[in-house]
Amino acid sequence: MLEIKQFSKVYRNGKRAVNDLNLTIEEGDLFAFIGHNGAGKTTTIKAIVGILDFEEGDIIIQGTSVKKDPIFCKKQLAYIPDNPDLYDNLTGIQYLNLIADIYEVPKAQRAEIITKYANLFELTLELNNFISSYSHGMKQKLVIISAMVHSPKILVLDEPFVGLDPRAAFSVKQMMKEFCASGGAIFFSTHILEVAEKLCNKIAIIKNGELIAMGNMDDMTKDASLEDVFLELTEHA
Amino acid sequence: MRNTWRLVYNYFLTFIGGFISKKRNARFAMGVLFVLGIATLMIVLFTNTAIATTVQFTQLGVPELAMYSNSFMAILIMLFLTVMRSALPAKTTDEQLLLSLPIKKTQIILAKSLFNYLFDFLSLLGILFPSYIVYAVINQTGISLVFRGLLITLLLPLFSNAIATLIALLFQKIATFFRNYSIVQTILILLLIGGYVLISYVLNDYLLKNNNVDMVLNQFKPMKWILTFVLNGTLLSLLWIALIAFGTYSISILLRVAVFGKEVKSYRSKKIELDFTERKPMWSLYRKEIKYYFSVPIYVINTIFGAIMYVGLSILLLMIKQETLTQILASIRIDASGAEIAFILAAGCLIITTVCTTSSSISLEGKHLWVLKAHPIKVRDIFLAKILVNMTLTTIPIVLMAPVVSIKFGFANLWMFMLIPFLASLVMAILGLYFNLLFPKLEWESEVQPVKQGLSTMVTLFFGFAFVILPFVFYFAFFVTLVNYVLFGLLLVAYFVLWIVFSYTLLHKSGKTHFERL
Repeated sequence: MLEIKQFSKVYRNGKRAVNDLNLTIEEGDLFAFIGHNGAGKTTTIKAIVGILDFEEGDIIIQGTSVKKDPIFCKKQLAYIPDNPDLYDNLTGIQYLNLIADIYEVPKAQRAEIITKYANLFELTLELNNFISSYSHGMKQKLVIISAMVHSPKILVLDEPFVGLDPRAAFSVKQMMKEFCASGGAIFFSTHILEVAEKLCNKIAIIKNGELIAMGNMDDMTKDASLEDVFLELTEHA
Repeated sequence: MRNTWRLVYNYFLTFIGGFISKKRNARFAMGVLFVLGIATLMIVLFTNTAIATTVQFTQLGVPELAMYSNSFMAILIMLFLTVMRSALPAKTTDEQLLLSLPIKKTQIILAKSLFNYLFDFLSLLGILFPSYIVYAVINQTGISLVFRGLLITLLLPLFSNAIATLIALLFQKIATFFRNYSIVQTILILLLIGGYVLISYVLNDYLLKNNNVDMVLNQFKPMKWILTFVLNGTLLSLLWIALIAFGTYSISILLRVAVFGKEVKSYRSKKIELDFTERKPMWSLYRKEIKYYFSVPIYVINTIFGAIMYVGLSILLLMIKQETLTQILASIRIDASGAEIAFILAAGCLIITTVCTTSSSISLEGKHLWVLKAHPIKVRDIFLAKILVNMTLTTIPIVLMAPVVSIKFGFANLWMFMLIPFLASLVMAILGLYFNLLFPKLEWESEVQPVKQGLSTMVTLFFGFAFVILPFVFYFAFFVTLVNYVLFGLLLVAYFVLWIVFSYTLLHKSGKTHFERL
């Protein structure tokens, strides 16, 4: 579903944020991408979703290169940033309609999905208010709803649990499991290793832009905890 | 008081830090130079105006009226700037930090206020103080008048600061009553600007018609106190001014302390039903753009005046006699038949092309640019939505006013009044967007930065003026007697169409690449 081939990103200031990254995410995968601050996680995620352009390597989504047909690729996935900056002057429902219009989601379908997730995240009563009045967690919930509105095949999330209350975090985890169980794939970055360990079937660890480990969660952790594995790998790599 | 001064010093360091951290950025250095240049220009301008006014009224034998006029204008400008600042406040991020520290609220507010005071004082030092020096030099009154003028310059910012606070609090209160508060805020600011223009006009008119100093002074007591203190050193007048300045300032500080740290109420919708109306992506983007435009007062203020002036020009043209226009043209040695039509078109095009929302529209995406980039939106649709906002603002006055102008200047010319300003505006919209893609300013704390200080806005304004004025200059200089105005109109259409083709191609190719690299 999502394939990252020899991807490298060099910023204009000469900094090589990611170097020769290779990853494959298959149907049903719940893939955690972990690494310390500045390791290159967000750079990779931004390149996947089309925010950041890149010259070296390629990213293939559903068999199509993001370089060749970015619109097709974007239609296959949904992105949830860690710190969503939204249009403060729009109401929640206006923002959701904007995203639904962009994906050309029919009225009945958007009504069903928005109602379902807004109820799940207890946001329904806030949707007619301006985003400027939302808290960080509410904005995060709104972006999650907007990500689900077009029923994507792949979800790309950058630190999805930041700012969420325990109930919402639980709902997101449930939603992620259900999404993958129904044939979708999720690629997400996180610093919460316990969540990654419990939730994911695959994991990749990145350090200073280099992939230092990748594989099935069970194979990687064996008898140790993910925290121990992560600390050992990042210390010695 | 030690904490207050420490905080003032901290704000000063933050202000300076903004320059130092970006010292390697050549564009920022250009920006600093530009601001300094504008400041120098303003001082020169105000000094020159003060000289002209003082000389004029001194020759009339009423030099006091010169001081009255200069002081009143400077105070009006100061109040206007203050009102704008209070209506369009910069976002503060230190409120929670300061509240968590062991500092009294009064000390925090006083520090914030004193820092603002410093800026207001410096502004007034450039706007008002030169007029006192000029008065003292021309009328040879001695240095004591200059010192008294300096004292007034020191006191007045206290009053303007107080007014700013009161207006900001009023706006905050109004915000709780309206769903689309930002639109209400924009309208209020436009009314304030209109009021300012009106008062300036009325004052000028009043002073020109009334040379009786006592009568003028008695019309407005605070001005009388300022003048009697500066001119004669009347201590009672100083007492009144100080009482007003310190009194209002103290009240404003107390009010700010009372509301500081308290939750700001915002309008809450009582509507429960959700609207899921489906729209075409392009139309949805356009709606988002137009909503954004009207919700940012500084964006509206900076771009709407061309449209208002265009309507004003059309009405003025309807009211003035055709001979008056012919006389104006004759005074600049243009007396060819139909030249007045070309002149109207030139004025119309120049005015309407000052409406350019696109030159900061990319910059204004700022931190939400990811929404446009991470979703499957065609770049062309993003561009078209932004251009359409610009064209909405210009097409409405053009279409409404073309028949109005045609009443006086012939319905046979209607197509010119409609088509030519429209095409000129379209070129500006496209080029404005292209320049913004070339010089984007995506990191900002207040919309004022991309809208008023963005390089793309300045380049677009300069370029727009040059590209519009060029064909008219050539026509009036060389071809006015040779080329019929209708033929000139057709040539103008061709000129603008060529620009549209060129600029759209540029935007579609190079502009698209720039957008993808953002």
